[in-house]
Amino acid sequence: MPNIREVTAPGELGLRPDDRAQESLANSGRRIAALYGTAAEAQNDVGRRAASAINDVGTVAVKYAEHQEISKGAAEAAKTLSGLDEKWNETVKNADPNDPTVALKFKEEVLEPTLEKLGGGPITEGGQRFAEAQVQKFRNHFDAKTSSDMATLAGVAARKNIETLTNQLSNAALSDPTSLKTSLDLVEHSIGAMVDSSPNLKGVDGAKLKMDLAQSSQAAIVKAAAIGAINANPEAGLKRFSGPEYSKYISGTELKQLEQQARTVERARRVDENYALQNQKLIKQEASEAREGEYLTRIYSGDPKDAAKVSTKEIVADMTLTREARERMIGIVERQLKPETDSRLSAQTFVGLMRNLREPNADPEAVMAKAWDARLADPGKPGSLSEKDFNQMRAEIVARKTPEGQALERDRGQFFKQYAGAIAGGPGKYDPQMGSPKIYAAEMDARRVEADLRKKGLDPHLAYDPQSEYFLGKPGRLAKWAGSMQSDLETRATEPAAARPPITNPDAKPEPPYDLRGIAALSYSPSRNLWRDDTSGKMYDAKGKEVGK
Amino acid sequence: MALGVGTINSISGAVQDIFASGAHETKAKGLRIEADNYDLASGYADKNAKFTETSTAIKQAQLDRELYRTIGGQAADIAGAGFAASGSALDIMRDSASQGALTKAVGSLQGLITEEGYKVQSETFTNMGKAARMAADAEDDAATGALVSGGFKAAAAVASIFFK
Repeated sequence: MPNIREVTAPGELGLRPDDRAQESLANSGRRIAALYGTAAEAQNDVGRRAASAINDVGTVAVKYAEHQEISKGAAEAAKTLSGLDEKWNETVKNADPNDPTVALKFKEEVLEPTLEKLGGGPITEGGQRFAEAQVQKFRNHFDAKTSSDMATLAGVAARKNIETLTNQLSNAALSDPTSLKTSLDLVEHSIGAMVDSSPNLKGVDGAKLKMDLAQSSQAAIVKAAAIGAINANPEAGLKRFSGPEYSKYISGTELKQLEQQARTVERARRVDENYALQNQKLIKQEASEAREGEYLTRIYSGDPKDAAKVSTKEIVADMTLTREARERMIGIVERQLKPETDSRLSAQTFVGLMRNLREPNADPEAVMAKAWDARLADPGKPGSLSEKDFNQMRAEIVARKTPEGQALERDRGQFFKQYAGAIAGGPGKYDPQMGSPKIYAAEMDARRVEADLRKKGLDPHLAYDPQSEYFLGKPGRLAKWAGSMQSDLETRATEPAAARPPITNPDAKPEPPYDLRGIAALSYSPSRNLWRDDTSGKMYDAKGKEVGK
Repeated sequence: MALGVGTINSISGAVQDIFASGAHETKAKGLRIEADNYDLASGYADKNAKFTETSTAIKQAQLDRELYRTIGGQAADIAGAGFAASGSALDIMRDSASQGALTKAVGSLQGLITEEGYKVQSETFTNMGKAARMAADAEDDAATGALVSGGFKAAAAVASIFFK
């Protein structure tokens, strides 16, 4: 039997798919992505570290910059504050107190631009915070300061204005006390309106200022009115303002002052009355003296017709003359009927009167009264005065009433005090019989020289100036006045005994000792027979020796 | 605003964002590579599905041939033994044919199951690739966003110095 063989494929023949490829791809893909993720995380980490480093370094840098700016800013702020304070003080010092916009203008034009500059400097947060804090502080400071200063300024303005108003109303009340009530109302209303309308006077300050000003202003006006009322009528005025109505304006002390014022006004009134009375007397006296002068001019004119026009009847009827003057003038008319007195006696009297006139604290009126008595004395009687010497004496006393006459008399008196000894005789040798005519001659000569100088347009004081060529104390002139011993003897021999005045004549003061003649103010005590330098107070005996003080 | 901690924070933030942007780009690259690998894996799964189909067909043909050879042997044996092709002989042959058909059917079904498994795997890889690509795109966006953010922070740092 044929053996037919066939090919049989293996039983497990077939394709077997393999998952490894796709699994490998998927796994590798995941792994790669994970690695990229790691790389990315590394990048992130670098970023975080860089950021952290930048943070650390940057923070330090910023802190340093802030510190620098704050240090610099503090100094700048202090300087700015000082400058602003100075500018504000200068502004407010020169500001018009009545201008309420001073602070506003300062803030807009000076403060804000300066603060803006100050706050704009720093670039760091800390520096800016510091600057802003400083700016805010400065703003607050200047708000408070300017408000305070403006309030003060407004207060000053209000006070000044009210002071002016008060002065005006006080003056009105002083001259017219009836205006008091109106003035008080006006002041109260004005102060209220002035303070209320001021934008810088608010709250308690405004209310306080209102009260203070009203009280002080009204008190001042009330006091002025009180003084005015007291001046017009001391008793009624004092009574009115002592009442309770004005007690809130007038304190106890002030009331005492008003009482004093009332007494003063009363006293002033009396003084005024007395003064007016005295002035009337003086006026009458002066008129009398002037009229006396007119009579004397006519009597002594040398023209018998003029002299004849003066009658005692007219004098008695002339009420311009005082009673004493009338009596004197009658005496003068009567004296004209008698012979003229002896010139030697008159010279002695004249010299004595001149000595009286030159005494310290001499009363010219008393000396003039003596001159009148001397003129009215009988001729030949010791102490009588001739018409010429009487007129000269009157002229002397009248001249003393002018500053020029006083000055000239001072020089003249000084001259005769110094040179009287040389003219009338040495120390201890003065004799009224011999000395007075010489002194008299010198006195008359001096007046003649003064008159000559006046005629030449020169100063009459030159006669008493040792540097002047017209000086009266030159030896030649003195020798002429002193005369010679022979002429003195002749004079004594021809002098009638009755005409010689007694040595004890009170007017006959001894000549000063030779050593004391340079003393300007020298007085003599007859009872102690001592001389006294009135300037130094030193005392001297009759020989000029110092004996103490 | 001024030069301060805020400024420094802005600068450091900007630097950090720049680095983060790079990190996002790196991640995006990794995700794209992963996506590409998923694509490749999907391709291989498709191929495996086809391989499975081919392999199943081969196995079906072999089963057919085995069945024919078995039944042919049985007929030859029956005929050689002098049995008629009836009765028990036919039962045997019928049973063989039935078993063969069952085996073939099971093999065919198994092939289909394997093929379907590869197809599903392929789709899964495709989807994973898409997801990875989408994630890469998102990382790209994040990189751009980080750059923009860094730029803003840098600008803020500069502005903080010059604007008050």
